[in-house]
Amino acid sequence: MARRTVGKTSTNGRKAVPAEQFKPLIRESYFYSPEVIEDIQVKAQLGRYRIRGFGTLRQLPSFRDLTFVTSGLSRVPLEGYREKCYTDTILGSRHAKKPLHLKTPVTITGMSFGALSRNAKIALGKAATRIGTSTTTGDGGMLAAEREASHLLVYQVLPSRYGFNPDHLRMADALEVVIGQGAKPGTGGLLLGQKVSEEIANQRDLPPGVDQRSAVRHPDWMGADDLIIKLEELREATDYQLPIYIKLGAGRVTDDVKLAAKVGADVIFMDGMEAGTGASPELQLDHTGIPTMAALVEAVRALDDLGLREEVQLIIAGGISSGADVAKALALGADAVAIGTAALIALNCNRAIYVEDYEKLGTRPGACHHCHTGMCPVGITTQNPELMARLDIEEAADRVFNYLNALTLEVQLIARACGKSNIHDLEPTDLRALTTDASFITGVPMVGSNKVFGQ
Amino acid sequence: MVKVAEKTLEIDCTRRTTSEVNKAIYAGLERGQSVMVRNPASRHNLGVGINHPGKVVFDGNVGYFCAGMLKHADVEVRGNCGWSVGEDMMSGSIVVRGNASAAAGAAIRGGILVVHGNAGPRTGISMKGGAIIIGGNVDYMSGFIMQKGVFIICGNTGEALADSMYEGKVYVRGKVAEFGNDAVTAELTAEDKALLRDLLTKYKVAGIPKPTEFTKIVSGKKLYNFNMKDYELWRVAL
Ligand SMILES: Cc1cc2nc3c(=O)[nH]c(=O)nc-3n(C[C@H](O)[C@H](O)[C@H](O)COP(=O)(O)O)c2cc1C
Ligand code: SF4
Repeated sequence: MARRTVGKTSTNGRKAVPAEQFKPLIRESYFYSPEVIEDIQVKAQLGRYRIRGFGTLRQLPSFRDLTFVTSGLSRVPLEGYREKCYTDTILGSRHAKKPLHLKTPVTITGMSFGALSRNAKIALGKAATRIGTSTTTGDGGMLAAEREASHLLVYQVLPSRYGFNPDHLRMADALEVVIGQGAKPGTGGLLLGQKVSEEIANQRDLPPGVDQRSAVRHPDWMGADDLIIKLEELREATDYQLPIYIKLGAGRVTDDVKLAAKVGADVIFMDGMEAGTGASPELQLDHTGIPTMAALVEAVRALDDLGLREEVQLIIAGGISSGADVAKALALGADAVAIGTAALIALNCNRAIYVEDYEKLGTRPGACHHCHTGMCPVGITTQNPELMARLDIEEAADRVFNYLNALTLEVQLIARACGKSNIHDLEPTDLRALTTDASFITGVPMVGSNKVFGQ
Repeated sequence: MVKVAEKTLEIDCTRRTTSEVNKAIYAGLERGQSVMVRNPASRHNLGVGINHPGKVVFDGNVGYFCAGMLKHADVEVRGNCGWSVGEDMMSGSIVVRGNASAAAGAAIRGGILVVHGNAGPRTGISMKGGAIIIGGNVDYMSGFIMQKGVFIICGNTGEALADSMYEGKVYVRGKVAEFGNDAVTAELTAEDKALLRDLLTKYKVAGIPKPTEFTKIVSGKKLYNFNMKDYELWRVAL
């Protein structure tokens, strides 16, 4: 094809291009994109790594890359309105005298009082109690008002031991030994000075206003051999009543899950790369860990290898935001899921109210990830009393209750459409992969080909 | 065998599970008895979760987590102990006649731990209150990220003593192998001297040395908030 030329014919017969008629594209570098340039310049000012809340902004292979193959002629569905579809979920049946009986497979993750406001903590507790699920304390100990609001409360035993109290241990319904978090696997907690109010400092035995960097290793035990003894200690102190969870940030999933099961966990909580946070080094959000879906299949396989699938329950978390995600997680082998960020969004996070305060933080509703600043425009991740007052506890609890209810109904809808009268009967054969990556990762056949990519 | 005398309950660990021993300890204390635990034989998790006042003696060596999460009671170990004796203690007291292994008094928030012999690495790690007195030496990373409380070492210390401590006071009589990040010396005040005198006299540790023999160590507070001027410090701390 002849080359297209514009303008007058030049001396050699080709037409020259007059500059004023041509608007060259402004081309950005792929390697030095505006984001990379901003990142370099922010670090040039800060002198340290960037810290922020929310979660990774990256796209990752996820449950969204799967679809359900529901009933048709070859399988009979259940009626949506009449036929029962059980959602009850039992956690901790392996060793505990009192396993947790939940009415839904959706639980609320550990988010510290400190990262969250008091109102947010109470609202989550109330909503969970109404639907019949559990909430979890966090890196800062148990808040009395949270214990009161939440019928089933999981007490975290963290490396920092901030506010750790054996009385609270005995008041708990389950214990969660935190080894890692999906949003910052391999590092300890962070709470920047602006959120360390008098009250928070008191509860954590810290000076007010310090940039709190909490420990990553537990102070009193080191490896898996010690952890066996530590779990015995926790069980001795609670008369073997409570289920013990071990929370892992997804990384070396297979080995970690095997060790957690072998040291005697009742429940393994696996937190994937998409997991939310109150404050994490940004590079950890984006460049450490394994995405949730991949972590789940690896964890399930590890338990299968040990023959412990039936004994040890698996909770998966990290980026779960819809009933479809929950149903897919269950189908791939999770016993329950946990949500953090999604519950905060139901509370009001990123809602388009108090827009001018989002703007003051240099962001906007829908793109806020400024939890680390302590200036949450909607009163969730703040210790500022005026901001916190923006979160009406009862209304917020209603919203979270509604959302949890919606998630549960969505899972039931999918289960019934797949012909299952119990949501825990969903299985990998109910799924197809939409991408070759998802097929390769999960072992679920690719749509159309009905073959597993890579096999 | 369980012998119930008037005032003292004697529990023999032989052929009893740890749970049985612990339950017998709780029951004895609740009845107002002193408890003597025979043949502890380095068993782990003895006396864990005690939540009642009274006196408990372990007549021999104990394993990991002895008297972990202690509240109210006064515990004595007539022997050595394994890792993390008295971890997460809230109140009461623990006196170890022999040596303690790693992480003695980890993350305690109250009460007092006295070790007459030496203690291992990470003694008093993550301390949040209360007091720890060591008659002999401690090893590396003792007092790591200490938040509050009083930590007295009558002998020498290992490396990285009181690294990144937030608050609290450390007193060392012997040689400090290496100061931890942001751990700095301070003048002994009259108040410090009175505190040392009272505690050392009360628990008769290390022949009751004179308070003036101790060096006081506190937080330099340079790691409270990130500051680029202190980049060298933060490079290891962040
Ligand atoms: C505001 C906030 C605070 C958190 N605090 C804690 C904590 O104290 N301890 C902990 O183990 N995880 C903490 N997490 C992580 C959650 O427990 C959980 O791993 C994560 O929220 C799951 O991912 P999701 O947010 O995508 O649902 C926190 C998360 C958020 C959003
Ligand atoms: S709205 Fe609040 S909770 Fe949500 S991302 Fe912003 S600061 Fe965090």
